[in-house]
Amino acid sequence: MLIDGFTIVAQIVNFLVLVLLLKRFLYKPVMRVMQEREERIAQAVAQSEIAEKEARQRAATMAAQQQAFLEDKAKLMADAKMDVDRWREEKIESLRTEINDLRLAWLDQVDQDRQAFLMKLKGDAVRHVMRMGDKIIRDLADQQMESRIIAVFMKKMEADKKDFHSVTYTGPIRFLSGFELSAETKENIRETFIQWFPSCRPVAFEVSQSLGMGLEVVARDKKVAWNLEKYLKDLEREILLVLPSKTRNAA
Amino acid sequence: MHISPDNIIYWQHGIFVLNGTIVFTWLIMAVMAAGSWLLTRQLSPGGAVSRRQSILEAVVATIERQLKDVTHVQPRGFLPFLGTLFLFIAVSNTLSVVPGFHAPTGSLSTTTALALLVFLAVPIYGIARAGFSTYLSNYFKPSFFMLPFNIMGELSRTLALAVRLFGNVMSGNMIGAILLLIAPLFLPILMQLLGLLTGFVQAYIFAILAAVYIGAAMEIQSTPTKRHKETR
Repeated sequence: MLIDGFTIVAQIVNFLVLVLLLKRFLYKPVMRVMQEREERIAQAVAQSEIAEKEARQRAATMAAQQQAFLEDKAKLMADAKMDVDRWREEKIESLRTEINDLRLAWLDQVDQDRQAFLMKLKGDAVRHVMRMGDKIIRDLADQQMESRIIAVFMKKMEADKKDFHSVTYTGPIRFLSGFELSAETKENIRETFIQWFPSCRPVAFEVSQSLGMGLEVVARDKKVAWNLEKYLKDLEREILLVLPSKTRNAA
Repeated sequence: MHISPDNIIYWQHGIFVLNGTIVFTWLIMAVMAAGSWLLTRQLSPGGAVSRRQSILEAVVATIERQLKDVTHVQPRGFLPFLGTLFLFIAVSNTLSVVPGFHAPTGSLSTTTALALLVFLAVPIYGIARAGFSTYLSNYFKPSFFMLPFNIMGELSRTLALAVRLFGNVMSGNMIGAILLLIAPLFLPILMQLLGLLTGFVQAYIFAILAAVYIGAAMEIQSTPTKRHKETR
């Protein structure tokens, strides 16, 4: 007989017992361990997701900060560039002004140097002319000219004699000349001085080469003088005073 | 040479018989229970996992995944039943290569017992999921006249389960025994190896078909309810 009823029942019971045994000793422990591991993995995954979320948030924050930094950097760079451009413009303008001032100063200096040179040139020219005139006059001087100089000086002395208080003056009078006076001339001068200074002592004549073509009367602290050199220098001074204005106008 | 281990009688008293099928089944139960106890003594939920535990978890996880793929429902509820079905048949068929061991699955009584358990398990799991009336109404679908055919289908597939396993195991043992007589050197070894393969295949087929039946019962019963809820 292939099928036995008792064996079937026994095998059913055996199998059910085996199911219980395996459930107790195999499936339950294994499933419990797997369940715990799954929970751990799920917990780890959840934690990793939280960590990932935090990391993403941090990354987003960092990205935003980086963006802000970049924007700030760009703004700072733009501001700096603007400042640099403004500073450069100011500097260029300042340098341009300075260069212009320097150029003007240089032109002024050049003008001044040119004018000084022209002045010096003209002064030298005038002095040469005067020296030449002095030399010519000296070369051409003779008795007649000396008489003429004495006449001019005596006319000047006559005009200035009141400064000497001539009537009451009692001191010595020195008559200095750059050239030798003749006796007749001396006598005429002495008579004239007696008339002007009745109370004074006799006039003392002296020759002083430094006077050149000139005459000089000294009475104590008073002095009246005329000489050709001084006359020419005065003339030269007057010419030089007149020349610059003409020169500037000409420049 | 015994066609079935039922014929190996160790003790008998009236209808109570202690035959080879029961004894070898107890042996397998002892081996599997003791092995399970030994293997699951030091399981660790985390950290370093031993190779033994990895293999154990892989076996259970594979069974669970296969059942889930077949039934499309969470198999935790019927995993012990179907898993034990697979492991019992597989271990029984595997141990058949041991000389003197007679696989209980070579007994039509054992395969009938297993098929009857599946036959009972299908409505139990179906009723547990969908309810008694809903499950029974399924036998009247698509019309009342289909009731006899549905009942015949249930019985025939149960019979097919029992006979298929019995036939394969018994025929394998018979072929091995015959070849041992005809050509005792190489062919029996090859046939034994082939028997191991077919034993595993038969265990897989039996467990998968049982899973399909249970899963179909659970899925068919739950589908109208889901559809009804969706239409609301």
